[in-house]
Amino acid sequence: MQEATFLILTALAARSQHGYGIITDVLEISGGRVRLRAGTLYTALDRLRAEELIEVDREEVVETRLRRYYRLTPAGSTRLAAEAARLQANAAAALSRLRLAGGIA
Amino acid sequence: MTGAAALERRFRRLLACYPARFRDEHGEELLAVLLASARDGQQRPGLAESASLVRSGLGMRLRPGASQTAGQGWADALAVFSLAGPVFLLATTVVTALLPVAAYLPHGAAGWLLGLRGAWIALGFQVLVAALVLAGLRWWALVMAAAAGAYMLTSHTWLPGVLFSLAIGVYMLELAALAGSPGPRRGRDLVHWGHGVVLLLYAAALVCYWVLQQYAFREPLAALLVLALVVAVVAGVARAAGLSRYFRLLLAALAYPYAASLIIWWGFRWWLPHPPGASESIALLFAGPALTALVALINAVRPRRRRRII
Repeated sequence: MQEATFLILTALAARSQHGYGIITDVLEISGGRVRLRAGTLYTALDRLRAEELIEVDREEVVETRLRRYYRLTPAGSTRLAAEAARLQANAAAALSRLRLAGGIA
Repeated sequence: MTGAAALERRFRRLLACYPARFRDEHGEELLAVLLASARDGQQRPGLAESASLVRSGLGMRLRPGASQTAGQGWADALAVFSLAGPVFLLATTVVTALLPVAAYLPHGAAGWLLGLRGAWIALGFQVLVAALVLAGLRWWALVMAAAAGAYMLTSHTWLPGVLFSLAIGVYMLELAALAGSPGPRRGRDLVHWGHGVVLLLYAAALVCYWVLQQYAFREPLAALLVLALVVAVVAGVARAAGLSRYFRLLLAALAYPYAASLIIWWGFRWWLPHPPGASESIALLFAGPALTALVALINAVRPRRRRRII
């Protein structure tokens, strides 16, 4: 899973969010490292909807502009949890090997 | 023109890079995000933002699988059908069967009507399937549509032939739609006014065709030509309304049983030695929707299994 996809799913893990909210949340989650462009975000959202990992939660019109909120589907939660566990296992393995080599304390 | 209006106009130009389907679905919200992300007083899209929009939009048009693959096209068409099909069937049944019958009620037909037990059961099934898809209960709707189709095929029912053909065709496609697509909830996201207009027109055309078949047609060839005209007009309106070719194919499959029955009727007059038996008739009449359902199901399911997030 690409990092941007992982971060988008993470941004939606706790609550539903609209496009701009996802962009700001991803920036925060990544510690300011990943700044999603709107075009990139919506290409990913379109694909994730087709994959049934996210779905539309609700729509609002704010100052005449459409705001659509997305949320994780159960399949999206499962997929994110599996990916997080995989990354955690990889990170643990990497840290363990580095400790063996005396690379880090 | 204000700065904000100029910026919006320029963003809209960039959004033209995206396929129409994507713009219809996400264009306004993407524009809202672009404007929300803009700096105060910004009048032109930034270079990086413009490049991202052009790259994403053109990529979606050019890259197979990026936006509307054949598989996704079928899946989306089936998702809309899973929602709209049962409602369309119910509406057509009510107009075709119940309204003309209601005209006879003042003439003492109530007792006869109440005696049509099979018809009421079949109508009950239609109401139930329509309610389930409207509630987004995909798997319950699948079970109920299967039960409804089985009941109709085994009970040698009751309703005028035009409705029997339509109901069996709709149930065949509905089973594929509920099994092979994300289902009516996804259909709710995709359905738009064009589907409503086209289905209303299609229902009206079928009702008119049924009336003509009852009272006007003497020759199957004439009926066949009228049917071809009806399908062509509905297909033209569906195309103009922006309905996908996959959805148009599903609608066309519903007209197949009528065409098949007319061809059999015509052929029986000229070259068929005897009319086909009941099981042969069923197979001939519903080969079109059955085959379409199978093709749609295979195409909708196969790419979804192959697609992976990388």
